[in-house]
Order: sequence, then structure tokens, then C-alpha cells
Amino acid sequence: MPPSGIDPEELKVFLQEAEEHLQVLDEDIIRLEKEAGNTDLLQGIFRAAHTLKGSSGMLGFTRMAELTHHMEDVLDRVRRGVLGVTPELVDALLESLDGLKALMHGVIADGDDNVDISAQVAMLRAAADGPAAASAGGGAARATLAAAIDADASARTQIEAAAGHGLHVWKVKASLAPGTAWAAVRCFQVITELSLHGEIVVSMPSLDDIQAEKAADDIELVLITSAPAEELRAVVEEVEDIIGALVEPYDATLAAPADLPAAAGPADARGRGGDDAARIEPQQSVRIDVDKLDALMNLVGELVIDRTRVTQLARTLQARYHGDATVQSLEQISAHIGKVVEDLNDGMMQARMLPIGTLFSKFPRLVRDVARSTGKQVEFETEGEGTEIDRAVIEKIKDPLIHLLRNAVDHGIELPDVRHAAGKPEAGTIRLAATHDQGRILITLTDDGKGIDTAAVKAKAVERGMIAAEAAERMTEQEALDLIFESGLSTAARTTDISGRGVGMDVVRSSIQALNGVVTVESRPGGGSVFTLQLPLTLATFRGLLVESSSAVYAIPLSYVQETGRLEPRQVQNIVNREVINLRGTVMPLYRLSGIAELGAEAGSEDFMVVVRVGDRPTALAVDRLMDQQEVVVKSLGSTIGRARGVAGASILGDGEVALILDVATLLKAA
Amino acid sequence: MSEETLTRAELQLVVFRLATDIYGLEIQAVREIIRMQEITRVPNAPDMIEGVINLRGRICPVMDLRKRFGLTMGDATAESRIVVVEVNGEDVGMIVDAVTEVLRVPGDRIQPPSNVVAGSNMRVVEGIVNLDDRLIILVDRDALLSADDETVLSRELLAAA
Repeated sequence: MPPSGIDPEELKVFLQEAEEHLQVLDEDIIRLEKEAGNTDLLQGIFRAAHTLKGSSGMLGFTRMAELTHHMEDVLDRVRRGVLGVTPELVDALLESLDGLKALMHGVIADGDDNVDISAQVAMLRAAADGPAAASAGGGAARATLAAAIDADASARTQIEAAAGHGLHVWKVKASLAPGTAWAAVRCFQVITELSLHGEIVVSMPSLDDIQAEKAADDIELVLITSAPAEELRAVVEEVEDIIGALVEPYDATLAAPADLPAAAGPADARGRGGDDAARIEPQQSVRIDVDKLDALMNLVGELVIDRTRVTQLARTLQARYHGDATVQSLEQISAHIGKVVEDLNDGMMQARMLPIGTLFSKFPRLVRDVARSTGKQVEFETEGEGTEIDRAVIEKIKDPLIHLLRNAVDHGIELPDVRHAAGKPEAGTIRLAATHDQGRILITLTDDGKGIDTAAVKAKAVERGMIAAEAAERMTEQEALDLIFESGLSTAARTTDISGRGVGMDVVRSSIQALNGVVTVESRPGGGSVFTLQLPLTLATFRGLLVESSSAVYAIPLSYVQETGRLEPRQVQNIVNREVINLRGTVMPLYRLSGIAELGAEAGSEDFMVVVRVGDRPTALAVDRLMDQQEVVVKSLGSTIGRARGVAGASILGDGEVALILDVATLLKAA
Repeated sequence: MSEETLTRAELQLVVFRLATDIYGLEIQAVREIIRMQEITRVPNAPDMIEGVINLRGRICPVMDLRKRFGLTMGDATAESRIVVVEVNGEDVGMIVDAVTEVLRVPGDRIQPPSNVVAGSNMRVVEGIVNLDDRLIILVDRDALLSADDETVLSRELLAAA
């Protein structure tokens, strides 16, 4: 329990600092695995843990202090050369880091670090004792597992034969909630569940031990199966009281007791994000509350609107009282204000920008974890960390990027032996890069994995009734690739049988589009895939096309607009009660904006059209009038209105009129 | 609530008219009163929302109180006003037929609505101000935006009082 009298300001500072230390630890511990000999790095990690220990202890967060104390202990032994940097040690440190994060959240949520950390402490203790000690730690358990296999000739033969049959040999480790009364039952459940999916060669504790109620805090076993690691992990995690499951390729050589010194593990996720050149130099800065920044941003937004109005007024006056000295100086002042407001606006945008490295730095850990659990070897490279982007955009692309990265490791990169057989380096490379491109941000995610099998994707789409077989045959490669973004395909359960990228690609696309962004994919069979995200620099403004429909003004993000033109009645045809137009040979649906908006207002002439493109499909919107292209300042409709389908927000035009911002993607989905 | 309502010393009300009924809002709730202006309708917005206006550079949603109270719809006249009220930290405009006066009312003139109105559908009515010559329906601004109750204020309410 912390002393109740913590000053809120003090707590805030502590949390901010802790957050930073945790971030440093997150990045550096991953690097440590790769650069075991880097004493500076080790020193930095030690210092961060030490500082955290001190500050949390001072505020009375005893569990946080305890956990950091054990981390420090382990790190100190590494520093003194007593311990080597093993994957297990890194695991223990990373687990502890997760524990610290959980504690932090406890502090934020309840004001107390009331989270059970005994599992992490046990892991650290085991790591501190070193692999030689025969304690209950992970390293020791594995040694006994290996010993059990060593002693069992038939187990060895089974494992050797499995490789010949193209089966996986997984080492499964499940950790039980400490102190559970049902340890034996849970271990038994794990064994029974897994034996439905394959053959268990050996388990620690063994079935006999379990039946004799000799169960420990975790169970380790070797399983021969055709099932993928993720499926098994899910099976194990289904069992009650299981707090963690690790499935990785069983490697006989790794388990041999001789293999103790510092070495990179089977999952070799390397983060190059920390390259010195790419490191962001610490700059003099002040912290500012994000809400304050947003409030300032809003004020500047209003100023931008007023600036436009003043300019228009000055022009009107100039036309009316041509040559009047007062009006002339008004116009000069108005021009100057315009310039200043523009600079202010730019400056404000800059203030909201963060280097994208703040996001990228979270990924080496993710890639490492996924790689380790799927038995892949992955080199993870990042580039362009200094590229600045609106923090609101950063928040919103995090989940889509995580999804793409997981997919790249899980479905893109092949297993080391497969890669070897294909003449590729055993470690796959995943590269995440960001650059500025014409007022937008380009993020590319490249892997050198097996690529996407378009034939399989098409087959799946036909099977699911999403497209007709003939249509599939006529499809170009690119069209077939784009199918992976369709919801019917990607929401299907696991699709590991095709190299199509698993679950939720449609969600990735819709999240990116919601940001007025675009996601595209290229792929080469056997050569890997490239996902490209084009994103706006900011969400506060966008380039928009203003159109009029039923005497209301709508702003359409230019990112959606493919072309505009006059709508000739002879282009319009009816197909099954739906209007379509034939535009230079391409038939596309035609929607009348007056109709979609469902306002019941009188439709205007609808002489013009805007062809918008959502994903791969063009759609024509009929409008009364095409107006300007301009920078549109986005304003929320407020919580009173909440989400109005098809409307992403509103904006105020130079003449004070309100324009509604069309949410093209959802509008067309519903139309 | 009724206890509190009854013991209040004095209220200052913005009094407005909807159809032929007279309503009052506590003056602290009212941010400003503006003339009718063009309202931009928002597709797929909740029914009671008429649209949005530009309130000095901010987007302000506007609702039609006649619709909210289940009265017959009327056309805007030269007397129509938008009363901007702060509800849950956000400005919301309410279209009324006319704003007639600002009134000081002694607390003992306020009756709890339970005397005249039964049921939970009258949550927007905080009380009835009985001024002998007329009745003013005291509106609870915080309840105005809850769309779940089908509040219909009818003439019978006043007849019953």
C-alpha cells in the first residue's frame, strides 16, 4: 500500500518517468539479447531498473520496488559476468517488464500497485540462480526434460522420425497460476487436451507424477503434431488457471546442458531500431498535457476560419471603396494576419507531431515474441524513425501495424528449414520503414517470406461465395491480391492452409481508410510481400473537395476522389433497380448524394459526379455542383449527435457556412 | 428533488414559448440566445437533432424543442430563437417559438411535478411554477438530451394543474 498522502503532482511525475524507463527497458532488453557483450547497454538497463526501484520505493509502491530489485539483482550478475545472456534470462526480464507495466496500470487505475508479481519474481530468481542450479526455474525444468528424452531411446527415435514426416516437434510450456489448488488437475487437462492434437513424447511432470499429485507450477512437454504453434497455444490457454503458454520448436541441441553461454535463441528477433544514427537525440523540452495541446489546436482552427472570413471581408470592402486608405491598410493587416495565422497553424501542427520511432520502438519486442512462439527466425529492421506524424495518427495506426507485423511473422516468414530448403537465409527479414512523400506519410512493411498465394486466395474467395469462379479466372494478380482485404475472406477462421494473411485484414483496411489513408499490397510468390500504408500527416485538417447537394455543402476527402465530371443522363443505366454508369468502359454504381443522405430534402439537378474509390471499387456520387478544393479543418459533431453514419464531422467554411465531411467508406458500405 | 425544489429561495428563469405553452429554464443553464439561422441538417443524426450551426467558429448541434416535447411542428417565425444551453459540458441549441422574458420567481411558487404529472416520462419537467395568472413548466436541462424517455408534454398537463 502506498502512503495515502502522495502528492498528485508527484505521482504524475513518477508515472511519466516510469513510463519512460519502461520504454527504454523494453527497447534495450531486446537489444541486449542481440548485443550480449555491450556493456554500455547493460549499464543503461541496470540504471533504469535501479532508478525505478528507488523512485517506486520512495513513494511506497513496494511491489514495484521488489520486482525491480530482483531485476537489478539479475542484471548485476550479468554485469559481473556470473550469468550469460540467455533467451531464458531475456524472457525473465521481459516478463518482469510486463509485470511492471501491470503494476503501473494498477497505480493509474486504483492508486496502488496491487498486482501479483510472484510469477515474475520466481522467474527472475531462477534466472539469477543460473541455468546450472537445479531449482524449479525454467532453465532447470528444460534440463530435466532433455534428460528425460536422453534417457528414453524411443522418444529420441520418435522425434527424429517426426522431422522426416514433416511433422512439428513442439516444446510446450504452460505456467499455472501460482498457488492454484488444482495444479495436478490442470496439468492433466493440458496433457489430455494436447494429446488430442498430437503425440506427447515426454512430459515434465510425467503423467505418473501428476497422478501421484506431484505437480509443479508449470508443465513442460514435447509434442509431435501437424498442428501449428498458435493453435496449440490457444488450446493450452483454454485450460483454467493457465497464465502463460509458450510453444516453440523443440531443439535437441539447445536442451543439451553444454549449451549454456550467452547465445541468441531460436527466435532471433533483432531490433535495429536502436542504431545510433537513428536514435533520437534528447532535446530540451517541456511536457504539455495533450488535452491542452488539443484545446490550443482548436483555437488555432477557429483562427484559421476567421482569417478566411476577414480576408473575404477585406476584399469586399476593397471592391466597394476602391482606393480608400483605411480599407487599404485593413487589407494589408488582413494579409499579415493571414500569414501569421498560417505560420501559427503550421507551428501548432508541428507541436502535435511525434517521430514515428516512438511507435516503431514497441515493435521489436512484438516481433521477437511472435517469432519465438512460432519458431521463426526474424531479423527486424526499422527505418525512418525520425519521420514526424500527428500523434493522433500514431495512436490509430498502432493496432493495424501490430496486425500486419504479426501476420508477416506468422504467415509471411517461413520456418528456418523451409527457408533453408528454398535457398534463403534461415532468418527472414521484416523491414518497417517510414518516409514523407508529398505531404503524406508512407509506411512500408516488407517481408522476404513466401508471399501470398493468389491462386489459393481466389479459391478461398470462390469457395466462400464472394466471387464467381469465372470472375476469379479473369482476375489480374493484383485484383486477386486485393481480395485479402475483403471481409468475407479475412474474417474466416484461421486460414493457414492458404498463405493468405489470416484474420482481420478487412479491419486493417477500414482503420486505415478511416484516417483518410490507403493500404495496398504487393506480393511475389516465394519472394515476400510489401504492404504500403499512405497516411495523412494530420487528422486535424485534410485536402477536401467541396460539393453541393440538396443545397447543403459536403466535403469529400481528396484521398478518395478519383475524378470528377459532368454527369450525362445517357451514361446512366439501370441494372436490377440500381443506377449504374458506364465510364469509359468501367461500369460502376451511381449513388445520388441526396438519396444516401436520407434527408428527404428536394434533390437538385445532380448534373455532376464525383468518382470516389474505396479500396478497389470506384463509385460515382451524383451531386448538384462541384465547388472548391481546399484545406478542411475537421470539427467534431459533438457527443450530442454522436456518430451519424456517413458523416465524419463538420467544418466551417470561409463564409461561415457549415459543411459536413462525408465519411465515404461507411456511407458506401451502407448504401 | 421535490424537497429541494420547494425550499429554494428564488429562481431566475429564462421564459420561452412553444406553441401556446410557457416554459422556463434556469438562467444559469442558458449560455446565450440567438436569432434563428440556417441549420445544416445532418444525415442519420438522432431524430430530435435538427442539425448543426456555426456558433462563432464552433459546431453546435441544434434540436427542435417542439419535436422533443412531441408538439405539432411549426414554422420558424421572426420571433423564433435558438436558446443555447450547456448540457453535460457541451453547448446545445434549442429552437423555441419565442423568448418572452427573464423572470424572478420565489421558491415557494414551485410545485413538484409529481402533483400534476405521473410516470417516468416526465423527467424533463423539474417542476411547475404557479404564478396565479399562469403556469410555467420548469425544464430540467440535464434530462433534455436523454432520448430514451418519450416525453410528451401536452395541454392536459396544464389543464390538470
